[in-house]
Amino acid sequence: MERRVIAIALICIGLCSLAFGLALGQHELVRFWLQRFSDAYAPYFPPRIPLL
Amino acid sequence: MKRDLLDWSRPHKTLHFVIKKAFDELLAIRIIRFFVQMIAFVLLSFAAITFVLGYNPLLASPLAGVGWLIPIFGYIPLPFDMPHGYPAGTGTGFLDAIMLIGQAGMFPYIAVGVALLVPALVGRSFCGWICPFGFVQDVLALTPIRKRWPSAKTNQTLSPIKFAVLGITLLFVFWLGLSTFLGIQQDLARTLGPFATAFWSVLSPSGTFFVIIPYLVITNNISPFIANWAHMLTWQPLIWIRLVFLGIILALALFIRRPYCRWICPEGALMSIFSRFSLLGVSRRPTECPGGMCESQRCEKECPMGIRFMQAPWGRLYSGDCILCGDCVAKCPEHAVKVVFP
Repeated sequence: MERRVIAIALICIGLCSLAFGLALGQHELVRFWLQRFSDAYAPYFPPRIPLL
Repeated sequence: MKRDLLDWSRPHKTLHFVIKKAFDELLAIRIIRFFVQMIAFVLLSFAAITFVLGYNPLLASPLAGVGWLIPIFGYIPLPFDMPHGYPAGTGTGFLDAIMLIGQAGMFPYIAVGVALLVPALVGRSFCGWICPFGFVQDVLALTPIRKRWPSAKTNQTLSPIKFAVLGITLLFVFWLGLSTFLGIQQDLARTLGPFATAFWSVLSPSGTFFVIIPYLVITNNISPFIANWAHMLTWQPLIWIRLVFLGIILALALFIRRPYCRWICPEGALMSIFSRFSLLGVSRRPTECPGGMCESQRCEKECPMGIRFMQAPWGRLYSGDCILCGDCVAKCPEHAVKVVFP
C-alpha cells in the first residue's frame, strides 16, 4: 500500500516536471543541444580522406 | 492427460490439443517480446531505412533522424538507453537529455519527469521490450553458445558499477552546469577535453554501436582503413578504447544475458531507483508455487537480470532490476508467476 502511494506520488511529480519542462519549452532546447553536439563526436573520428 | 489428448482415435480432441499448443508456443511472451523489440528497433532506426533507399541523413541535417517518428511528442526523451547523435535514430534517451540540458546550466525538467513517471508507472518494461541496445544483447544471447549464470554474489558485487557510472555522470553534469552558470565553461571544456560535452556519451558502448560505427560506415571512413589496416593505427586512442569496451560487452553478451543492463547501464540504474515502486510488476503466488521448493526454479534460471525470485518474499516482486521481460511468467511450469497492475 505504501509503495503504491509512493508510486502515485512519483507519477504526480513526474507529470508536473514534464508539464513544467514543456511550458518552459525545454523540448526545443533538447533539439538545439542535440544539433549543437552532433559535431561533438567529429574530432574523435579518423580522417575522412585516406592518408595518401 | 497429454497422452490422452494425443490419442488419434479421438481426432477432434487431438486437433484441439495441437492447436492449443501451437497458440501457446506462438503467443509465448518471449516470442512476442522479440517481435516487439524488432519492430521498435526498426522504428527507432527509421532513418536507416531511408538511408538504404538512397537518402543520406548526414547530407540533409546533422541529426536528420531525430524526431522523425515522434512529431507529436517532439523531442521528449525516451525512457531507455538511446544515444544522442545516432545518425539513423528517431529519438534520444533521457540520460542524454539530462546531460545536454544540465551542462547548459538548466534543470532538465522534461528528462527528469520521464525518469520519474515511466518507472513508477510501468517499471523498467521499456528496458525489456523496447531498448535497442537491450535487443542487440538479446539477439547475441540467441547464439548457440552455452550460457553462464553469474552467481548472486557476482551480481551483487558488480551491480554497484552502474550506480557509480550514473553518479559520476551526474557529477559531471552538475560540474559543467555550474561552470556554464559561472561563465567559465570554455576554460573547463579545454581542461576536460572530450568529457566536456557529456561524460557517459564519450564512453558508452551503446553510443559506439549506434553512433561511432554508423558514422564510420556512412562517411566511408572505414573502407580505406580496411584496405590498408596500418592506417587504423592513426585512429585516436579514444576510438580504440570505445571499440574495445564495446567488444567486451558484446563478447560477454554471448555468454551472459544482458551484461550491460545488469552491471553498467546508468539509465537502468536511474530507473531502478524508482521502478521498485512500480505499479506494473510480477507476483509469485504461494498457492501455485509448491511451498517455494520448486525443483525447476525456472523463474530464476530464465531471468536475464539474474534476480533471485525464489529468495524474495511471496507476492509482488519489488526489485529495481526487474525489466518486466516476462520470461519468468512464461517459463514457470506451475503458472505461479503473474503480471499484476497495480
